[in-house]
Formats: sequence, C-alpha cells, structure tokens
Amino acid sequence: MDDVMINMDLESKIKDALKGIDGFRTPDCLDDSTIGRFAENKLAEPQRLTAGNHLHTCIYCMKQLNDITELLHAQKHPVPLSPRLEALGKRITEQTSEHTQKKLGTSFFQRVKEMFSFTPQQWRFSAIGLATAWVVFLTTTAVMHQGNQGADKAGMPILDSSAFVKVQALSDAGTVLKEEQGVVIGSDGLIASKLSPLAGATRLQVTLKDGTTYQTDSLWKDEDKNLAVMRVGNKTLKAIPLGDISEIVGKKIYAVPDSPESSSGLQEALASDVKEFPGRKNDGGPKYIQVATQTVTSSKGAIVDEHGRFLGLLITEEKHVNLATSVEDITKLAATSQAIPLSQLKQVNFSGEAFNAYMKGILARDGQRWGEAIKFYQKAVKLNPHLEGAYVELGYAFYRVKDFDREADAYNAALNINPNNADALFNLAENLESHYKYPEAIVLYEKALAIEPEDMEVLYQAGLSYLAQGNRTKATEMYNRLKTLDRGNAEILRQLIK
Amino acid sequence: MDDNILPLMQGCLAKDGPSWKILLQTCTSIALNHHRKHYTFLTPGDTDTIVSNVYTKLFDGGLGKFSGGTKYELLRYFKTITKNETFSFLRQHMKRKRDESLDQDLGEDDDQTEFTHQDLLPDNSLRPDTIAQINDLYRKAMAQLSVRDQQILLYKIEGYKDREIAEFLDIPSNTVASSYGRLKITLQRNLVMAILIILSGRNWPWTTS
Repeated sequence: MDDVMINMDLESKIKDALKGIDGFRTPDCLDDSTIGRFAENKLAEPQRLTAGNHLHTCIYCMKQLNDITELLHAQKHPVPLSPRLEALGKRITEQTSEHTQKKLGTSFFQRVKEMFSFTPQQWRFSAIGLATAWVVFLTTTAVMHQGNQGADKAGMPILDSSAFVKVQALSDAGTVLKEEQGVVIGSDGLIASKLSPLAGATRLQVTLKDGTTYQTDSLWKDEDKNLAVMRVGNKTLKAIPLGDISEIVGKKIYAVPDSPESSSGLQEALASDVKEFPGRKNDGGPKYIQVATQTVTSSKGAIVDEHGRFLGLLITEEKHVNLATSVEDITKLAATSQAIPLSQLKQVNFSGEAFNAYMKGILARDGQRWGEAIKFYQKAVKLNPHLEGAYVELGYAFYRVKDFDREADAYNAALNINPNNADALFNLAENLESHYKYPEAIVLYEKALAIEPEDMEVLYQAGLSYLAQGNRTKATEMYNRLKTLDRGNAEILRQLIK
Repeated sequence: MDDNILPLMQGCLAKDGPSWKILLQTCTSIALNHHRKHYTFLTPGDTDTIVSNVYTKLFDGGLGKFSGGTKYELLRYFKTITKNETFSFLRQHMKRKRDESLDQDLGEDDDQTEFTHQDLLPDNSLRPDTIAQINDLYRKAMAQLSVRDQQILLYKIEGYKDREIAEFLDIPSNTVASSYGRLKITLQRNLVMAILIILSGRNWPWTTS
C-alpha cells in the first residue's frame, strides 16, 4: 500500500463524513456562538484553549468552524444587489417604517385572545383525550387486580428442600462466625453459596437437612460474583435439578430466601433479562440473570424456575431489581479453576452497591451513553477499588469520549490489581500506540502474548508496532505466528513487511 | 451588523425600518454567497426569486421563530432559510419541468438533469461504526496539524478554490497552496501506521451490538 492511496482514503473518508456531518455531532460539541467567537478570535484564553482542543479532534465542530468562517466572510463582504431585490428591500423598509410602536399593544391583546380561544374541534380533542385516559386507568386497575389474584392462586414450584443446606463459617475455636444458605448443585457434594460471609473462617461446616454435618477447608471462589463453591463428603448427596437459562427471559422465577420447607416462603419474581458480559474476545463471558420482584422487600438467596430447578444465586440484595449469577457460571467455576485453601481467604472485596453501579455502567455502555457509563464505573470503583473489570470498561468508555489520558490511567489501575489482565494490556498498548509510543506498546503486547500466545488481534497489532519501529524480523515472526490463525490480517501484515 | 444583535432583533420585531434594512442586507449577502457556491446552475433570475421568497418568509413571522442570541446563530439561521427556500424552489421547478415534458410527450429523458433532489439532501445514512471509524481516523490524522491547517484541508476537500480559502481565512492565497502541500506531506509521512491500525479496526466486538 503506498502513501498516495492512504491519503486518498483519508480524503474520501472525510468527504463521506462531510456529507453526513450531523451524525458526527457529540454532546461535547461546541455551539455556534463559541465557534463563531473562536473564528473571530474573541474568546478569552482558557475558553479559547478548551475550544481549540476540542476542535482539534472533532470533525463536526471543524466543519461548523469552516461554515461560520465562510458566513462571516460573506457578511463582511456584501454583494451588489440586483435591481429587483433592491426594489423589494426598499419596499419592505418603507412598509415597516410606516408601522408605529402602537401596533405592539394590539398584537399583545390579540395573542392573549388567541391563546384562550379554542375552536370546537380542539375541545373535541381534549374530551376524547380525557375519556381515553379514564378508560386506560380503569383497564390497568382491573388488570392489575386480576393479575395479583392470579399470582396468589398460581402453583408454587415444589422444591426438594433437602438440596438446601446450611453453610457455617467456623473460627479456630469452632464457634460459628456466620451462617449462610447453600445449595447442593452436584450429587458429588458440590455446594454453591455466597462468598463474602465465609471470609476469615478457618473451616466450613455444612449441615444437611437430616442433620448430617461435613467439614471442609478449601473452596473455589469468584470475588466478582461473590460466589463460593465447595465440595464436601465423599458420598452422594441429593442435588437440586439444574435449570436452563437460555429461554428464561420473561418467565416466572422464585427466590428462595432461607432453607425452605417445600414451597413456603418463596418469593415470586420475574426473569426480566439475561445480561451477558462479553470480553474483548467475546467467548461467552459471564451471564447474569436480572430478577425483578413486585414486592418491596429485598430479595436474596437462590433462584429457581417454576419446576423447582436451580437457576442461580442472587448477587445483589436490593429491592425490585437484582442480578443473579447463572447456573452455567456456577458449575463452570469448579470445573475451570483451582480450589484455594480457606486460610487464604482473609477478606472478600465485594460490594453489592459497586456491583450494581458496574452493571448499570454496562447497560449505559450497551446504549452507547458513554458519559453515563463513565459515571457508573467511577462510582463502582470508588465503592470497590478491586473491580478490575470496571477499570477496563472505564478505560474503554474514556476512549470513546476521546479522553485518552484517563483511558490510560484506568487501564493502569486495572493492571495494578491484576498485572495479567489481557484486555487491559491490549488496550493500554493500543493507547500507547496512538501516542506513537511503539516500544512501550510492544512490551505490553509481548506480555499479553505470554498470557495468550494465540491471540490473533494482539499478534497483528504487535506486528504493526514492530513494523512501525522498523523491526522487520520481529514483524515477520508475528506474521508467521499469525498466518495460520487469521489469514486475512496476516496477508495485510505480509504486504506491509515487503 | 454589531456583535450584539439584540437591539437589531427588537427593532425588527417592532417593525423598525432601518433595522430591517441592516437585516436584509446581511441576509442577502449570505443567501447570494450560498447560491454562488452551491447552486451555480441557477440563473440570476432564479436566485432573485429565491431571495425574495426568503425576504417574505422572514417578514411574515419567520424572524419571530429565531431563538438564538448571537450574531453567529443569526447568520446560520439565514443560511438555513436560504437552503430551505432553495429546496422548495427546486422542487417546484423540477415538477414544472416534468409536467412540461409530459405535455409535450417527449419520449427521451430530459438532458438537463444536472441534479437530482437526492444530491441536495444531507446524507444521514452513515452507520455508527463507520462514524466511529472515521472519527478515529480523523483524530489520529489531525493530531499533528494546527486548526488553521485543518480548516484548509476541509475547505480543499469540499472543493473550494485557493483564492476563496485565502479570502475566508484572511491569508495570502500562496500561503494556502503551500500550507496544503506541506500538510499533505505531513499526513503521508506520519500517519501511515496510525491509519493502518485504525483501518484494521479497534472496535471491540461487544460494542457492535
């Protein structure tokens, strides 16, 4: 690819942009007055600097600046008028001069009069409007009333209460520090429960419905989801049947607050959504079930579907709307990670509020409301400074609002928590690259590759960075690693190396 | 026209002759300039008709709808009105032409189709990801250029002549030419990598939803 082509590409892209310039407007864009003052050099220094900085990166404002510059030029250089226009202008001027100030008074009264005079048609519309509102009100009241009655009658799921156990955190001396609900999710003794109450314990004691107790001192943990999974006993336990969350949205589900006796004490709720949280590689990130309840009390515990099958554990304990981990992620945890001894679990960095803010940030992110997303992420990391995912997201949101310095800060914060966060490494490297800091970027790419040697994106970008530094040998090495993984990008890389 | 347009606006709304004179003068400059640049195919007679339509529009309460408070907003308002009036003029014009050609039962297409209505409308069909991509490209490409250079580049891309750009920016026209040459080289030299990186895409999969 030669230079001319790149330049043409830039120009044609800008041309496209100018045609649909309105699409480039952002909430941060400057208004006409500011741009106009900037064009005429009438802005005071701090404002001028901010305006200049924004203009520098914003094609929309740049176009407005050009438009206004042109308008100002036209204003300052009047064009000679044709005789016809001159005559018309004269007529208007003369006509207006005849009008005297007293006209104002009448026009004011006229306006007031107009404001209060409804035509019969308008009256008809307001009558129809009122009638419709009344009908809607009546119908909703009736429907809600019926709906509530229906809910009372509906059959609660039959729960196998023996699958619900008591998990107790024991101190050195054997005293019970905390007690938490546990759910037997595997007949081989796999039990899921909340993580935060278990911190600081030396042993865990699991008590079954029939009074049998087991003890363990290791567990699997996921601090992001406040989830603990442990295995007790070596004989088979009665496990709860596992549900399927793939078609759960819109269905009735139930929260199981305490150890239930069959179906009493269940709290009816609705699975209002399943939120997926894919990472950069989109390989099926964690899924969260959004649980909406009608009651005003807060919900907690396990959630089950109408047939009593296990769906997940509630993470947050708010009123109305909560998030729950999905059964998929719970079963995955024990299968994919290593159990840790309980002695390592001195404290759990989890805050329900922070988690909520984080999820709200993700909602805003999905709606491309970046400013809002930033606010939520910032709240989340303020409440729980250990949320590395929120830092990565925060960085990306800053990238979208073009705040590149804070973008880098956020990635660095994520790397402080976990130096091996591949997403943060990759994004920070790209951030550095856009500041032409190729050597630093390469260090990070290499780190990311050490964690995941077959990451195609990283290989490609690292290849480009090596190339930018003129290191063809390393770039070729990247090409060789990439060519079996991603032939398209590998080919581009090869062309560039040539 | 002063920077403070409030007295002028009040004068006009109170139907004060001298105020209207200033207002119409400015408006005409904007309208004629806009036509000279963008509608070269219109005859002077057409332009006169359109501008007088603009006058009528302003005088018949159009000015009352103006909600801004600065000179710049007023100038843009004039431009918008001119644009709208030009569109409606062209629409009628095209319709009339089509009717005429039907009356005369001309089989072949009119050879005077120098524009279509679509050409005049803004293109709002850019997808959000294209916008993000162009924004990226633009940001990185312009990082090393001054605001003045960027202005020159955009004017050039929009098809303005060096002489016109020089007049707008109040600089010698030789400076425009040399700046443009220089900035093209800057873009070529420094941005090969940046642009390639952007072309290769930096959107995470999750944002495409």
